[in-house]
Amino acid sequence: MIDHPDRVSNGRFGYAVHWLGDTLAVSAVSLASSRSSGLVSLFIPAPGGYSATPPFTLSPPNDNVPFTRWFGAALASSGDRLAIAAPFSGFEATIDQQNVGSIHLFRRDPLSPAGWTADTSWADISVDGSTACAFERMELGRWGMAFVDGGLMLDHTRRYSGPDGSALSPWTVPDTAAGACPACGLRAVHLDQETWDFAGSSAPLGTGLPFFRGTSSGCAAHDTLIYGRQDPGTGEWATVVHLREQGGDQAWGPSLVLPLTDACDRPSGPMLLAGPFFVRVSIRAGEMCSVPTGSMRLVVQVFEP
Amino acid sequence: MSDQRTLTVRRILVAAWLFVAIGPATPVSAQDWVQLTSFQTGLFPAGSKVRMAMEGDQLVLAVSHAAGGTVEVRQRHQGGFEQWGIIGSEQSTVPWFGNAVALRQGLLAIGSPAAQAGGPFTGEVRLYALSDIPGEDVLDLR
Repeated sequence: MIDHPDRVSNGRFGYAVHWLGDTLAVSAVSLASSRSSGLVSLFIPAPGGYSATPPFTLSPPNDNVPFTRWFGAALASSGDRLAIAAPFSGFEATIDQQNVGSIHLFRRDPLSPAGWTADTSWADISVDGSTACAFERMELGRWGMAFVDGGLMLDHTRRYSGPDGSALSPWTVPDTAAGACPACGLRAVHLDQETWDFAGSSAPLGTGLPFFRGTSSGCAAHDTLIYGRQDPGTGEWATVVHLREQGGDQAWGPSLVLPLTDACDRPSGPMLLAGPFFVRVSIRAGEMCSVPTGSMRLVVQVFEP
Repeated sequence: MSDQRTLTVRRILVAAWLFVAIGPATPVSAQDWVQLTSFQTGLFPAGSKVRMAMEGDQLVLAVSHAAGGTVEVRQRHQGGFEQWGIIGSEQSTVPWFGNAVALRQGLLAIGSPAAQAGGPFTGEVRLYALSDIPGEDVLDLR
């Protein structure tokens, strides 16, 4: 078992785990450090197991956003790049409305003690037009991130109200009512040579509630993006395959919709693209689907291109 | 013929028989994607979180909730052609056991951010090595 060397109550160590070669990255999203909340520790192989000694820790630079809350909520990597989401960052720790979220990118650096060094960080600090002197409430990367060829996909959630989150993530989750979250979207950030174009990023699939889920209910690799989309009117789910350059340069045009297998098929669970496989999880519930009240059953479906 | 070759030939014959008996995988679209198979799990509390990890032909399925969690390791062709049978599993009463999973080269990391070893929501990570001992659970706590 791996413990954080400075474990404390409410640290939430193990919220996300991610392999970086033979190094294991583990986030403790509520572990406080200075004005930040959340740390990512790197555990390296050692005789007898994995060790965090010395405690190689990645913490966010505080240049763009003073408070980085839930740093490590999502981790993604590709080659020499690592992205860490701090979706509840902000300018004032006690005011939810100043929640802007941030993404932090790191690069491999053999000269750094941790092996990684901060590259850049992003925060969308759009001003809320409806409220004087306030920032848009915004979250970046809460629902996951994925590197694709030449870029990074992440979710972008803005100005919503909804039910409370869980004890694991005590933040409001998007309202599922039709018309809620009009600016939500899956954001594509393009990497041009060595420069990230966050300011020019876009929501190529569109905006609105069906697109808020980001890559936790979708997945991306290379030039393929597969996405779980919920119809806000009917509540039904669909799995949509997008291919890049479909419909133009940097476009992610829809390619096809994977059909449902029956009336109880509700592919709202996680998905992954790994090797030749695409795997999605359908979550069945309700007595009409032979699932007792208060329970759920999973149907895992494996596809191959 | 060596035992290993005999076993390989048998597997091919069984796979061919199953392919004929069951038929080819069902095409699900006019384009490229084909559904190879599907399998269902037992019941879990409503609202459980589901996580997956995959490497090669091994799929990790984790379901976590406030009262614990279950992590299964499944292998392609385990139990039949295009079946993904369970080759190892781990259950725990640690809250949200399996909230995060990652698999690499036979090492499976399982995160439980609500583990209470050092107080509420201290969290812990368990690391397992997937052994290849026939007939035994493949999950060995490392």
